[in-house]
Amino acid sequence: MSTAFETESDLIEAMAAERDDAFREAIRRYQSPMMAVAMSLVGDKLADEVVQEAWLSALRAIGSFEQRSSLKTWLLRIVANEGKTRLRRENRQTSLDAMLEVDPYFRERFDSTGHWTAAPAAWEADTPEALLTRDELQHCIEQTMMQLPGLQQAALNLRERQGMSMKELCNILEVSESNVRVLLHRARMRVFRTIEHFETTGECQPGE
Amino acid sequence: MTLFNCRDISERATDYQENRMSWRERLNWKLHLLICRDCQRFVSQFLVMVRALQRPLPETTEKEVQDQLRRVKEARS
Repeated sequence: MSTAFETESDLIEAMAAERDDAFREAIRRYQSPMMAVAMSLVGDKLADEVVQEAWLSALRAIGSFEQRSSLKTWLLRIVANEGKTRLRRENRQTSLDAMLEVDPYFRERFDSTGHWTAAPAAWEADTPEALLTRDELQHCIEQTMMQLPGLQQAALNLRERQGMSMKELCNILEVSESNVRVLLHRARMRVFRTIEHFETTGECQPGE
Repeated sequence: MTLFNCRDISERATDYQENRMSWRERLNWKLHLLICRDCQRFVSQFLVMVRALQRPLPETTEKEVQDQLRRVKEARS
């Protein structure tokens, strides 16, 4: 049975009434984004469990959801919270400060007057399409993203792949707007470094 | 105002791309790019990269929907 839920409020109400078709529709809409956030924060292996916990918490709390954010933002915030709790419990969390720091690699790309020590290399791929059509490079970019610290990875995923606004990122990840900007920028610069390395050497170096 | 150097450009590229600069900073940014070829290249490649990263997530498959729904129902029963 499938029912069209015309508005988000309809869906939320039906979820609160514990209707199966509403659960199904919510999962259809949000499972993929929720998994993406969970995988960013806790890795592939634990993501399933984190998302399961998040659904259960969400369904327990849906009756008191006041709709001050979209349903998606609310669900993603619950996932992020479950993920962070999990990391804390397993002593795997990285401090926010560490995730905000400049990559030492880029510290050395500038001299004491702030000029490039080595000029940025010209990329052969000079359009987004060209960057994406090279499988090896594409794979290398994905590996780089998977190795980013959790909050950087989540910020990058939410912004680039889910098109969420900076404000929504703050709400979901519970960090300040200026920190979200830095997290996102650090993640992007790490990917930039990978592409540049690949363009100059033909080799993939996704990690530290 | 202190003029941006290359390091500042690299540090502020997301603020530029996300439109989070004051008009003063934006002017400063443009002045630096006018005279610096290295940064012109850096910025254009940075922007190409950001656009390349903007791909939608895959849709949830029917099997994924069913699996998750089953797990949720099992846990709640």
